[in-house]
Amino acid sequence: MSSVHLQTLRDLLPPGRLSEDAASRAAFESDGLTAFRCRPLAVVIPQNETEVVQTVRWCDQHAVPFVARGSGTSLSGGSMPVSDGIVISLNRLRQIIKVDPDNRIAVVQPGVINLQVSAAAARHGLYYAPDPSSQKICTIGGNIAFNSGGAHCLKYGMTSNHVIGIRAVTASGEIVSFGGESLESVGPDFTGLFCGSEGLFGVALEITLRLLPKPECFHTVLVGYRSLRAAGDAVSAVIDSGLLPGAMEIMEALAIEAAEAATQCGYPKGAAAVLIVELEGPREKIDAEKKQLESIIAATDAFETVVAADDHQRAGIWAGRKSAFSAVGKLSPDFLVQDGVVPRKRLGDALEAIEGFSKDSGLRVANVFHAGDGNLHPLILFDDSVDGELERAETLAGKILDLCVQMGGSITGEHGVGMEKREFLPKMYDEPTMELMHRLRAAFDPQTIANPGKMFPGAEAPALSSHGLHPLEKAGVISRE
Amino acid sequence: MSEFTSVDSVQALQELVRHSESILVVGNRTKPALSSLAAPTQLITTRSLTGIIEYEPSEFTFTALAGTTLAEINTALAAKNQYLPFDPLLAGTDASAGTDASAGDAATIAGTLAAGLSGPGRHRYGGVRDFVLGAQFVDGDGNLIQSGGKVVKNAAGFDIPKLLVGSCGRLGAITALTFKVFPRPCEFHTYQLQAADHDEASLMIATLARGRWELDAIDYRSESRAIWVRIGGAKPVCDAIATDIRRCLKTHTVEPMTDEQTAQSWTPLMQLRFGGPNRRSVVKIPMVLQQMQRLATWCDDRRDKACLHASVAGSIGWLAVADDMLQDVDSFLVDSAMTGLVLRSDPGSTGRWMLGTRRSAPIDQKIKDAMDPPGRFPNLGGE
Repeated sequence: MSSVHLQTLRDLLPPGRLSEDAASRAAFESDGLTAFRCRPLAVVIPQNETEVVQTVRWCDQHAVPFVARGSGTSLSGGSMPVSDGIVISLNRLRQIIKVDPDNRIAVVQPGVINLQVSAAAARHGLYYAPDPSSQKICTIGGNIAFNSGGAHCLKYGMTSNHVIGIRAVTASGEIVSFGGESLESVGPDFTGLFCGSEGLFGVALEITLRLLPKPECFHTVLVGYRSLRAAGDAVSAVIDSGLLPGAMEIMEALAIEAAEAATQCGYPKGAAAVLIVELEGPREKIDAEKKQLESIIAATDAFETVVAADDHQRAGIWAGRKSAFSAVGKLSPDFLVQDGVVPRKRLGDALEAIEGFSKDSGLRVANVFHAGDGNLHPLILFDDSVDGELERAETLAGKILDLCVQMGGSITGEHGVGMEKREFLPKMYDEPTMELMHRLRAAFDPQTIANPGKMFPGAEAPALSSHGLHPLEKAGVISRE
Repeated sequence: MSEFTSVDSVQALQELVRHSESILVVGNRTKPALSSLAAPTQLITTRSLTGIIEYEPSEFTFTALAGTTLAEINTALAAKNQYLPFDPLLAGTDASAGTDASAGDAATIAGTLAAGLSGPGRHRYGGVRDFVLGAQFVDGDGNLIQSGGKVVKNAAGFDIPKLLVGSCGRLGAITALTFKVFPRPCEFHTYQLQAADHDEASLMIATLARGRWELDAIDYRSESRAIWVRIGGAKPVCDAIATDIRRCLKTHTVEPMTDEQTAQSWTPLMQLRFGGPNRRSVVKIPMVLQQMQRLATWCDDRRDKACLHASVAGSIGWLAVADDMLQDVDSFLVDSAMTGLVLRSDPGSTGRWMLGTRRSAPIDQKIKDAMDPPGRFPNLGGE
């Protein structure tokens, strides 16, 4: 692909949309997985849907790979460019087309920021439930591509549970429309298939989201334990009681220490693990449930229990949790984070095994996880300037993913496979299933030009070249779940 | 069921698929219109492929073979105080209403997913699409596919289990499914609100659905202008919420139903028999509130032959009509740019099972071809 050839794309688009200069391309060479960098051939920043479609059709016509992206917060390298391809940056397609309070839906463009949907719905007493911790900056288009999660997945599900309609352009340039404004549909759930397709099918142009009534009350409890096992037992006790908390999170000592240093969140001193449990709902129900929760926690081996007295204290508890990974990252020049899932009853075994892997490798691992749904987030600390540490960290990360598969879990709960875990996908799915996924991809993208090198193993990967916190994490704008 | 060949193993099903030119797999055929085909097709039932093969209450998950009945699943879950919150229909035993309904209709778990059917409880936590985690099925080549996972959170690979929701057996032959379940509230209580007309009903439903109360179900029987609100929890809690609803909606008609009234209200709906003997055909119609009003008015003009039960705060229309009314329903849906799924019709019918505006996008066929390269399962077109 030459600049002369790119001129035909430039001619299609209004002036200023296509950039080939080094500075523009450098701005898009990485995403939230900073271990990978690759400079694209060019960047297109469309201002409207027509320009997106024109660009995709041009890519199809010339067999040029493209990577559509929003804010680039993917933690699995899911929006990494390819060197001979185009980046289509969708941040300017940021219109909230409508909010319909009677039917509790919002129709948005892909570049709309996650949190802005809830902001727009708030005056109707509604909100958009999926809450990845980068929700201040991540876009709905990216959330759909990677079926993003968050702290409230056990009760509310992932992004795909809140997407009811998608209009998109496939990689072969076809405009497709799936679902609609009703919560229900007739025929195969194509909308559900498109969610989580990691950009391999095409580009979402307009998305219809389901909104929920804002919970009236929150009851947030922070509990300190002398051992991780005791915290895990408490989670089991809550689950067995029949309560359905909105969130249940555990952080262990290293993460607590770092979060405390970063946010002075007031977590129990000397705790080997803290558990956050949050109930939410109408006040009549919460009044009843909080008494039940209190008696459950009292029967565990807790040494300190803090109940958030108001919104400010609740925000403080969550600030510690949400800052945990970027805070831990500051203890080390480089880190890797995984998001494998294990059956909840195997959490203790999994954490014990990870501790063993950590000792064997000589690398520290901090654990923060969504305890309610078995979603681990081990943070592997290393220093890339030390010979061999990166390789040891990657080996350790691979062992954790293998462990998740062996325990009957998943290699990813919410970050997606992306570039980072693509070699592990065949460990979850057998050959006929992998072949079927390839056929489905080909239905949308026969030339494999949409986000190539992601999800499926075997594609050429850009070289590892850089590590450390994402610039936005350093600035405290985003954090890792 | 004599014309159906029964299979009792996955391997046998794979062999049948591999050696058939045209094949459709069903369960207990509780939605007979979906398998009333005009074209010669080998009909297979997986009703003997039955049993819960894994159930981990602490994980909130279970895996069951395709032909396992909803009644068996509901019973097993209830023993652990858990349930499928989307209230699967045609369960035979109506756990959601807290009463035993007449047995007979005993839908299977795979049939429920393939037809994409969710009951009133879909309002609170989502539908069958939101609770399926994994699907094992035979593709058109006869390969056994293991899609999705067995844990409550999984973002690895394409979400093929969701694609199977509503596919009506046209994309694959389901052999086993894994679902997420939730703890079941200690009790359910239903309250009835009375609307003057469909306009007022729409306003009330919209207010109820976006209110702070987190209601489990909001349904509307258009004939009687009655709105049913179901709340999960202990009676004093539910009563307190009902009192607040009365205050906020400025209505004096938020009446608690007795257990008997609850059963009489919900059970015919859960069995899709609410139309009575003269309105036996049943069509599922996805909609929004404005469309609900139009459809309810259309039914008012055909009172003896059509009635509407709007579920999930006006998102699903269950239309019960006389057998000879399906053509009229089709015309209405075409005029309104809506779509309907016929679940039950004239027993002798081998007609269309999709009514109204139907999709004909090229991508649909491409996806079908990916799932079923030899084209062994019937087409998606609804004929």
